[in-house]
Amino acid sequence: MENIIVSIYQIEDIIKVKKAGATSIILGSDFFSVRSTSYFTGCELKKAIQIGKDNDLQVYVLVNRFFIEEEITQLKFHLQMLKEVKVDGIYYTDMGVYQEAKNINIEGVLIYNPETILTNSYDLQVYLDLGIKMATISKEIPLEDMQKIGCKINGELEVIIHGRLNMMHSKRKLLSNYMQFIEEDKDLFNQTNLYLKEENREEHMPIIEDEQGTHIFTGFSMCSFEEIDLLVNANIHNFKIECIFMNINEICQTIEDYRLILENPVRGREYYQAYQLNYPTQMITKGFLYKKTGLLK
Amino acid sequence: MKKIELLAPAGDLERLKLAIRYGADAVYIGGKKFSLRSRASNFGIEQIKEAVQFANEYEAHIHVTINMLPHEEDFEGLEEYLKQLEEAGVTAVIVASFAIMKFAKRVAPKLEVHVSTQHSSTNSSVVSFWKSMGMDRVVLARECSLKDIVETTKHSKVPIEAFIHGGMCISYSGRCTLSNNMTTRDANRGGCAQSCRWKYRLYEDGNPLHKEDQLFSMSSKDLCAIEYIPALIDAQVASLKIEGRMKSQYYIATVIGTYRKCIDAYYETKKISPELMATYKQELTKAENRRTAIGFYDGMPKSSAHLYGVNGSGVSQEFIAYVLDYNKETKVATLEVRNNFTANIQCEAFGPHKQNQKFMMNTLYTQDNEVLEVAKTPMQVIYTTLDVEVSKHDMIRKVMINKENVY
Repeated sequence: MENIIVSIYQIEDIIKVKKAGATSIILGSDFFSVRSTSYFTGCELKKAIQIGKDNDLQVYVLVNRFFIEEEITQLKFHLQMLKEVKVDGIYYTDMGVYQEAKNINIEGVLIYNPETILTNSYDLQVYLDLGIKMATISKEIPLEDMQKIGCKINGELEVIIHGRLNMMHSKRKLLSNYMQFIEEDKDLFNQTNLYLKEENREEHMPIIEDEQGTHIFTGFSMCSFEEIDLLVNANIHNFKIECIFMNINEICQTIEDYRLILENPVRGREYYQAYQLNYPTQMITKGFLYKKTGLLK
Repeated sequence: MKKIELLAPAGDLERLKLAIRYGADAVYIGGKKFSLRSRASNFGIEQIKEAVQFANEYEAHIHVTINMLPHEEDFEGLEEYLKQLEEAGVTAVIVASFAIMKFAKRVAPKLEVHVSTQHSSTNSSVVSFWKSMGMDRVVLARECSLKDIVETTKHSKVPIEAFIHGGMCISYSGRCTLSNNMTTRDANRGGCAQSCRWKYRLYEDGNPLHKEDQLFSMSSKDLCAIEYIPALIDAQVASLKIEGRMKSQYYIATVIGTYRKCIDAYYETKKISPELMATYKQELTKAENRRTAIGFYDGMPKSSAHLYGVNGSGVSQEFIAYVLDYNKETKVATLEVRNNFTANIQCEAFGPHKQNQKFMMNTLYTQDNEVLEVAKTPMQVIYTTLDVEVSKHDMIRKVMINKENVY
């Protein structure tokens, strides 16, 4: 069975996504996670992990921020806790997390998702050869390259198939700084209803400022109904839905639809067109699946 | 204790030679393939060999950037290229791709491999990882504060390189696809359109939060960390890096020369007085082409560290001539024109081995000995008498009275 990976907002969502057909859930936690739908405290996280496991779900945890020197001790404690509760996966972006996980022999549950960087089969293979569980193919890679990569790689690959994609993470508090610059006393912390429009363009690009800085997302939602079976044929079996701008009902509907398409791929086009019609504000597109970015200006 | 390395950028051989003459211990350059900064006049292998030979004369080193994040088709010719670099006597390659790092270690083992800032390394755990993989140096992320740099260096067992001057990405380096998304130009393969420096309107649920005359932007002021040089030396950072392979000769000379003087002064006297530091800062303002700030050195940058309302403009000084020759007896200087100027303007001469000297520009003459009203043809060779003594490779700048005011 193909692995469909989704995030949840609260513990009650676990059962819902399980019923919809998810096989893995992603949990976020205070301090250690960014761009998460959930930020559980330590106790809540342990509880959510247990409930996920009780429901036969793979439980993955986000430890996907960059850490500075003075935070390494907290990172070590957190990884030790995750080892004790036996999480199935830990997403990370900072290779310091790999080093600390290796020190306590849990590198085998790590999932490397640096957002960019994993743009070719050679790099994916050398990271997978470190003994990690899985690596996420960069989202700006076209389908053709993903297929080539999938056929070459020895190890588990993940592809982001659906949702708003993160375009950049700045450590700076860009919204707070701007509000200060224009002398507006307005707190925009952690709001998910903000967006940018470049002065000559129409795209609405969501922007979020949180404890770890500022994150900007694509003006479109990625959708891969027509391509998922091609990825399966290329030996890729782990598919993530980026849930951050979807509510739990949308998440469940999307899981169900991908499950249906996996059983009946010929309906992919029909579903893609239906999503374009039904979610007009999401700006449903195929992302970089058929768009090759240029080397030069 | 090994003296700290001053690492300069260069976009071509002329700038490379200038950087070394003005005091760089090492220069990093991009080859024609595998490098970011696609417009930075990247070097062919013959030029790289010449660069190494020139550097050797000054006991300096050449580092070559291989810092793109390659796609499936970008690996062709890599093995031959790495071997050529090794044979040319290049000291190090600065690499972003882990696969290329490992490949370089295998096929060109004499090359040091430095882990690019594209990895956004911010702690000693990640440095330990790179050490365990056999890498020779780690370039820290520009998001590190002085405290982060000091603490990370203290706990690291491979040399650490830190940025001290130049342009800053608004994103963690190497993790941004704004340009890819907005222009299909790949930010991580040399095509960055700097979309972060564009202007944006900001909305909350469809309602504008921005001000029309002061739009949102993510344009960072450039980094200038000269005041932290003593602390970085004390922390035993191995190398101080200046950004800017696309910068001008004038910029390179001013910035490298100033940092050289600052580093040497600190090693000689173990202190830099506030007055002396102020002169260094003043000198660097003459080279800026963007306003500068201290980046993350003192913690999270405030709004004052950003450029709103401008697109990176704000040149505050003008490089007008390069000294080709000077006759001490006749006081005749042979100059190469770089920007418009006339006689009777206040000027300043500076060079790698001298204090700045102010003077009034005397009458200008062409090679045919005709009086030149306005020197306005770039690279034209002209003559004038100078009341101050200059040397070959010195530079002359206009003294700007009213600086352009940008915010």
